[in-house]
Amino acid sequence: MIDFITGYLPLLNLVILNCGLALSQYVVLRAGVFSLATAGLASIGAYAAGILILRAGVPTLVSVLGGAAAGMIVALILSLPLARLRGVFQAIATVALVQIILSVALYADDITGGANGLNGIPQLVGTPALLLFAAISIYGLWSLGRGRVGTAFDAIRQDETVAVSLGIAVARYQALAFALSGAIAGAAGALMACHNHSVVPEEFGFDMLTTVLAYVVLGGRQSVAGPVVGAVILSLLPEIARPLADNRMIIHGLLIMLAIIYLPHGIVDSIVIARRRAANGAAASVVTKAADGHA
Amino acid sequence: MIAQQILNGLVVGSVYALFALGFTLIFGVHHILNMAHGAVFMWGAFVGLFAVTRFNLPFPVAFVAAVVLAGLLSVALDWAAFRPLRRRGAPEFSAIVSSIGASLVLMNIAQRVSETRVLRYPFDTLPIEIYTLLELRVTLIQAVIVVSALLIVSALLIYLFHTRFGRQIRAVAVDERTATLLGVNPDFVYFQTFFISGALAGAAGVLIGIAFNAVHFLMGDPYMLRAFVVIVLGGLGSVVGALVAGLLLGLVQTLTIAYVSSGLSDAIIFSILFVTLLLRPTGFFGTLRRERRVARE
Amino acid sequence: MATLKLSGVSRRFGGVQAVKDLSMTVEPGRITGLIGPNGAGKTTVVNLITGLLKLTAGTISLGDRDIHELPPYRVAQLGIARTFQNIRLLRNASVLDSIVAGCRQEEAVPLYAQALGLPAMRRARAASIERARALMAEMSMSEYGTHLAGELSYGHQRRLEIMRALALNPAVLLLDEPVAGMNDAEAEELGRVFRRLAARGIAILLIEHNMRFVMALCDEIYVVATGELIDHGQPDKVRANPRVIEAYLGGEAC
Repeated sequence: MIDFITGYLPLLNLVILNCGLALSQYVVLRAGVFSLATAGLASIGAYAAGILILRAGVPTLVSVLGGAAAGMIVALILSLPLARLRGVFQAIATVALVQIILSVALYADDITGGANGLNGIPQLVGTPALLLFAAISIYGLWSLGRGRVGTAFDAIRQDETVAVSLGIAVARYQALAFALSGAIAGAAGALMACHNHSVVPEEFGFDMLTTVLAYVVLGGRQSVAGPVVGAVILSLLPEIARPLADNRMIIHGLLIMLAIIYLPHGIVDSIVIARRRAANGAAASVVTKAADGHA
Repeated sequence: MIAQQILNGLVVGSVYALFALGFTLIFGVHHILNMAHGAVFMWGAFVGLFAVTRFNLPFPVAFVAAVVLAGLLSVALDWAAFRPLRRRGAPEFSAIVSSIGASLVLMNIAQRVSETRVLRYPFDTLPIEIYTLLELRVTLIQAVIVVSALLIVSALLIYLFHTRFGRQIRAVAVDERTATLLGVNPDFVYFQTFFISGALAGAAGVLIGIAFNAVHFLMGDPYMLRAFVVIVLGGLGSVVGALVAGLLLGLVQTLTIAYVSSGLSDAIIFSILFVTLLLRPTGFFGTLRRERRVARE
Repeated sequence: MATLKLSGVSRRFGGVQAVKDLSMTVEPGRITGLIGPNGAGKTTVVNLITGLLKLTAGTISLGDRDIHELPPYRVAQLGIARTFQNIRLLRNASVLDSIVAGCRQEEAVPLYAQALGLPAMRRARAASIERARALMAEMSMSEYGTHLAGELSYGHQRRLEIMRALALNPAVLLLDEPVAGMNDAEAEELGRVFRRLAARGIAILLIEHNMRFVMALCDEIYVVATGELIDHGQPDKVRANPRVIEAYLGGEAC
């Protein structure tokens, strides 16, 4: 039994890390910021943690926090120019950013190890640490999402003019979304570094960018459960059948297209909306039944 | 010698311009950021190569085949990825996401077909000839690139600005609904713009494929990124802007690689992108459409 | 309670003078009408007041404070709420959530408290929900809390926009064609709602094409045509003014 569980731990760890990345992508999309920078921010967190551990001997926990902080700071810096751009251009700028970070990582050998990346990071991060990370991230985003922050994000995303007319300081909330996205991505990247012994630059490129986007497009970008569901499904899919694993990218591509065309709110949010509609429908029919009774 | 590098830069730049033109056409007219444009470019290169290696067609025929098939692929892409979204009035975000998905599918099919290898043209597809023009070396391939690009762009400009169809396209660029009310068939316009855009990408793909004698499923990525830079510099939707910015980018890249550092050329180019987005997000040239909202109000 | 005052307000769009030298006062407790033919610049005036558009000349003040240089969200925070000519709702949000979006007191809860889910946050949210329910009761829409905004009937959608605007606890309410498309009975009912709101001290600016409605409801009326003020005063005086009648090309049956 224990062997059964331990056999699946690596997969669980992978799923948790992917959930973290998904949450990072989710929070900006929920706030109507079309940032695809999560992969880049994660790589910054990974390098920051890796460098702290390998070059400065900083303990793991502090390094992970350092990674999160690095991600958050870069995201905040980014948010200033990005706030002034419309969605399409935010997308372009953030895709370009991921490329810049990749190029710089490959180029600055001395700091980043170039194409070889950073190696030999002691694996001091296991499932308990990852679960803690997941718990904190999910709880924090869930809590914020249920309150004013979530309300503001949803308003900004759906109709910015309305949000402004309600006194919502759009730029500030979007900066907050960026900061949260950066912190979670940075932490996830740092944990990846510590869990995988190494930081490999190519891991944080276009592949991760599109995969992370797929998590949120499939799962949904309003409820916190959305990105988690998307990440779990897409992480487990390759495990179910070999062909699914071999054709990962095609499947991501098809799912992205199918989801955005036929299920634009994502799985979780579509269910939420459908249930609400059903409940209202039921209530309405109760009302009409009552009316008929009196007619 | 710097003049040589400038020439090389202009050759590279003309390919960037071709590629970016197709991309900016779709955005300028239909407001769609087609992230699968690079995949169409890559498939143009594949078709050109297969036409030569599998069907033994002479290069010029292969070129035409690639251009036409890339155009058709682009139309199919619109039909599958964008039309359903148009039908229900989905926001911009959805089209971009859909195109990312489509690009993954197209790239993956190419990956399987090529078995993740780099494919090459047979040795004698195009003779390796070098001409001398004003003390500068010009290879046959470079000449082919520049001449093809010139011809194609001229044809496009004539089409857009001197034919009825082009006028319709420009009308849709200004306001699709009004154009429809005035009798323009939007589906036909979408067909044209996507076909042209794909044809441009396909042409660029074949040219690059033969110029570097390397065709592989990832070849579109760097071009997409450079297309971003071109259209931001040149202004989204601007034909002239795409041309000028494309040439300029080719120059900057070649000179940077030759005189500064090849490793950093990417980072430098994208930094230019960022700076332009910050300082002059609408780019430096006029646009096909009057209002180009890049910045928030 | 505060007075909204426009002085010499002008706005150009390139070669077009959309609003020219407009001066207007909207006082608390009164319903002030703004009428004029299509294209007269009425919605532009609203956009200028809310800060979505910047003035090319003049000032706008709320109470003793100039607001024309402020960003739109700040203007809303200071107490100017609006509804939109073409209803703007968050279609997939519930009625309750839509109104809660306007309740600003939750912003007083510090961020860490929100992230941790502390009682202060839950209390603030409960207060917002209570306020929303009160507004729904006032508008006779109490059973619609979980209904999605996009599913409501037209009349209910208009009411939702008004409830959302009221959630801000505004000093000034800008109503942009709130009864457009409604029959007389529905319009009259909304008119009574507006009267009640005015009685509470809100300054209401009403833009409308429904002449009967405007004349019956407003305490005073401003008439604009091609961006300029052509008359101002009590309904009886305004409706008799030949210039006003002319501006409407034969006039509406007042």
